[in-house]
Amino acid sequence: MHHASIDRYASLESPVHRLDARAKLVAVLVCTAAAVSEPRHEVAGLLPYLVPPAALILASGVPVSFILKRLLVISPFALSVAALNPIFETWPVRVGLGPWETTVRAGWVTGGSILLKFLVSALALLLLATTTRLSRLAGAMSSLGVPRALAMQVALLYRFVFLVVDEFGRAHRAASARAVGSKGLAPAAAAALAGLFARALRRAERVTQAMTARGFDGSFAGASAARLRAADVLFVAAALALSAGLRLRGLWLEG
Amino acid sequence: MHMGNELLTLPVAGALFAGAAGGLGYASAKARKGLDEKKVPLLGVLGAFVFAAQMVNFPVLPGTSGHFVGATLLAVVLGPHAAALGMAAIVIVQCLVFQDGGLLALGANLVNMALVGPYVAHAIFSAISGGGRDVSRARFYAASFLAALGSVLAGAILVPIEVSVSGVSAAPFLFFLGVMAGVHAVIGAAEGAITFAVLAALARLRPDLVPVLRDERRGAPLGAALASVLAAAALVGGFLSLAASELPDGLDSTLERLEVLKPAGEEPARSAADAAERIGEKIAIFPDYSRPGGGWYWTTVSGILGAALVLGVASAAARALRTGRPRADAASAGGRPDPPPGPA
Amino acid sequence: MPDALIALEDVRFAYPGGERALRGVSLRIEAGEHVALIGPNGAGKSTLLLALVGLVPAEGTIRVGGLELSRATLREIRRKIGLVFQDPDDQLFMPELAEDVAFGPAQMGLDAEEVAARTASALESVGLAGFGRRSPHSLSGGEKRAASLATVLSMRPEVLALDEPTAGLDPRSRRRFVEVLRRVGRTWILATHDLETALELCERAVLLEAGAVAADGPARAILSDAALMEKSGLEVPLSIRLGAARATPATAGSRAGSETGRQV
Repeated sequence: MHHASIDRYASLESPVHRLDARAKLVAVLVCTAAAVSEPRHEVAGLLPYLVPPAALILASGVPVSFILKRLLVISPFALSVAALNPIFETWPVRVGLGPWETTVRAGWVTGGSILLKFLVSALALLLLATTTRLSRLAGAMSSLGVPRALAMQVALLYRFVFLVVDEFGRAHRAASARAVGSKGLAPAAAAALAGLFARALRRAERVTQAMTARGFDGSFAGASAARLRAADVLFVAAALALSAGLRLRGLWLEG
Repeated sequence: MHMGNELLTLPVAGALFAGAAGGLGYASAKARKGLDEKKVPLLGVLGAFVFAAQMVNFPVLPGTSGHFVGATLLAVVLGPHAAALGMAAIVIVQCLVFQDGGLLALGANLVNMALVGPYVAHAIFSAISGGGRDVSRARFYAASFLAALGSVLAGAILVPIEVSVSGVSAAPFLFFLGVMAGVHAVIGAAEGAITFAVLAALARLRPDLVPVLRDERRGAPLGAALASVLAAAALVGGFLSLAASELPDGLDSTLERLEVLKPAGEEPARSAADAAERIGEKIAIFPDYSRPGGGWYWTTVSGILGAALVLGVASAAARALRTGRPRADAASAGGRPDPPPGPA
Repeated sequence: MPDALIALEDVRFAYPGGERALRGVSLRIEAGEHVALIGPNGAGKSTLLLALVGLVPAEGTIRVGGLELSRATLREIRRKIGLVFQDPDDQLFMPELAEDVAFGPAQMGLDAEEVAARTASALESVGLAGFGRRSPHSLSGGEKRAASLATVLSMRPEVLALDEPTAGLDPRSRRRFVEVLRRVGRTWILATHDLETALELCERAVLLEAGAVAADGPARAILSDAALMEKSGLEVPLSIRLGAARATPATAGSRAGSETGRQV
């Protein structure tokens, strides 16, 4: 696993990247919540929600091709569930776009709504992931109430994933070299996996020693939280206002 | 299975967040008391191991692939509370870095995979193995296999429940349940086999961590392995046929449109059950089993028949688990366990 | 007699399995000394370093900076002794370098400004200024070693204890390490197989064998003692052997045996 593939875009420079991690996390949560709370038959009303994350992604400099590829990769589950609706919701409803009107199965409308909600959520999450380094996100999480121990787990996990995956690669190559045909591979794989686990365990014990040697005693000291800038506050306020506005508009149109 | 935001409503998502927070708070309090407080960072590295292991995919059904989950392994080695924290970190990283699962659905995913998974695994494992340090091979296998299968299934079953309560998807509950449980029965079975194999190997490397096996032979006991494959196949067959039985309305209109099963002059099939009956009549080995109006009956039987077919294929895989010859080239030198870290 | 910076008296430790790793080690190290801890594999070098900061529960007396090692003094002693581990990947456990270097001072309870200042100066002193936002896996071997040194420097220790600091370093990185240590360190203990570097950086050597001190004295003398080196599974460093070969027969006698340090 090439570490660059994950870190790659989060280390870029742009106004979006510079936004505080906490601000971005809150904004993404609020916008996604608003979109998800739209009624299940809402399709057109969901489209505006796509604009802010899309615009911010464009502003951040992260390549659009990467975003589209990721969307494709993570869509199958949502796609298949959305596709189920037309199968089960067969009664006809009228849909209109301007002067054109037609009758379709209700399932297409609700399925479309599911798809759009997925798109909004995925875009917003991608925005967050590609413009924020995970260590900042872990810190943001703990500022928002996640127990510090868990946030620390996330940071440690992220740090060591690269090491472990490299070790896996080496073990896999070694095991393939030894195994003759597929019959030998399964037992060799299990033994290799156990060996890797034991090595991971030993490394974990050494890391704990290293942490203890630097004063760790079970509780994690608070990381120095950077101050919120005016831009961060404005950003969150704008996200809140936009989401509230869109959602209220939806409510108003219904009522 | 990681859930996305679009299948949940806010109240359900919120409730699950609260559940996750409470559960993880409990787990972390118990973990601090149980393990040495300072061992909690251990999880970060072991979590990385499980995370990496999860990246290996194996095909389950055409179109879906499964992967090693790891909750059972962590739960047996570290206890359920620490395992819960470790899995929680994994689920969070998967969401934030790989967009695997939605941000709003994080509460749900944490409940399903980081809370239910490890605790169920631990409960089943200790119940069967008796928590002892000297356990027979068959019992050890049963404990690891059933703990893994149970834990994966338990988490998977929660998904259709959460989706149904939200009411966003139109798929009927039983259909969703059948599909999720069917697919995860296979994943759980594979998890069981892998977990046993790794635990058995680990018992040799680090007997301080894993209950000691009474005999030294390697490989799964053949009888137990076959029994587990049979059980898994039956589960898969049963669940998938449950799902199929929920399809009548949609399937029948599809069948009509495609004019399937309409030999000249015959009436088109009136429902999926009816169509199944007709197919059954034409190819059935046991034509007596297709009872009039008993569509459900037939699909269950055919489900089990299908399972038997799977068994035949899977027993070949079970043979791969068994090694009779002593192996001199294990991944790590056998013999005495590694001393604690730090020797010169 | 004023208390030495580090004083060990009859330090003993056995692993849970019964394997004895340290058998009554007694040692005194004064401020400003540069000690090479040498010995074959399994001699107990790493274990001794771990014992110094209470990471293995050793018996006997361990005094650092006048404080006797106990639960109450652990924190302070771990600040006084900066332990650099054998594998930098064990020591660099945070996603970003700056977070690793800041970890120690943050755990000490210093305020955010102080932590930031120490982080910056520690990184600069090892030649990694501006590397703060880098992740450990993107660093080369030499950079990782320098980074792991920075992680303890930010705690302003009085003694640096380093376990195999030059293992796996290419000649240029090794050279750099020597320069950096001379610049930032005052008192140091080097547990190492790299006898050339030991000779270059340390004027005193303690030879450990099977958990006990086999020799303790001037580094050059001990390392030149061919009989002693061989008996302990070590080797006289090349530089000494070459240097001695160039000596005239009349002065060759100074090599073997007569100027060995105190032998136990």
